[in-house]
Amino acid sequence: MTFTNTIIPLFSSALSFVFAIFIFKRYVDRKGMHLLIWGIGIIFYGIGGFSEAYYGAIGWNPLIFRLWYLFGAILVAAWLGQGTVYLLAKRRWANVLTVLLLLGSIYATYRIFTAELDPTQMTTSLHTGSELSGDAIVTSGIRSLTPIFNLYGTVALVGGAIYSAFIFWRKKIFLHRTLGNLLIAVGALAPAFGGAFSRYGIPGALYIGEFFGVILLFAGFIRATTPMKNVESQPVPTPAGD
Amino acid sequence: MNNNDSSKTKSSKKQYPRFYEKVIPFALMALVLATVVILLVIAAVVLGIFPGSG
Repeated sequence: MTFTNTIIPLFSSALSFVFAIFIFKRYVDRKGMHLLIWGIGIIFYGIGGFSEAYYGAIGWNPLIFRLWYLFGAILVAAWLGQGTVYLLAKRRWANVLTVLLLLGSIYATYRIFTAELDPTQMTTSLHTGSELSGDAIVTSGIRSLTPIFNLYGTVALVGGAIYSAFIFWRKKIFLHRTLGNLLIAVGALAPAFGGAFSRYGIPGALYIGEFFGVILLFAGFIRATTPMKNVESQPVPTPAGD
Repeated sequence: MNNNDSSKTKSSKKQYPRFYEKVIPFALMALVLATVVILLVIAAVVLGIFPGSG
């Protein structure tokens, strides 16, 4: 048990669940499928963090590992991205993609809960075994699902946030939403970079990336939903004689 | 009338505070670059060039 492999994911998990409450409260107040799906995605984020903290504090447990891999490694980015799809795409397309994501999620759940696991494999790669790693999955074909879900999630969540920020910036409106979307984009990229560094054997990179990720996502959400006083866009002063 | 309309258009043009006007384009470009990098990493994992996949 170390600070990096237990306390940091515990904080990530706790913050995720608090964040989820904020999102669901806004969903209750305002409705909107994007809020519901984002809330579900952030719950997945919290489950992933909790599983990491559990493993760091107590040790190996097959159920905890399966929950971590399913929610933390495979589903979280895709479901958060799906929320953004509801915000930006036509409702009909968003519904079709949700059905596909749901079917994919059910298939991933089946594969992960029937997979053969070997925790000793987590110490045979660049990982030290102090953090959870997909290396523990022995059954072939399951780990190849992860980048497919993550590709979709990254394009939808990060791409959607950048696109929204660009549109607001170009129109010079809603500065708070521009800044909020920038924070959301950085927050969504943080775990992805953490995961990439982790593959090169940098200890704690994934957990730290997830920690900063949820902080930035939360900050971005709050920023995007809270108008700024006195610093929104202003009329350009017209030069004298113009 | 046309002149008046033109001046109205000019004076109603908006911009963010100067700091944000300068910073936001750079932030957007950096994010696009970072996204391309991470998508390439994911693609490399899919193609088996990069070790492991999660």
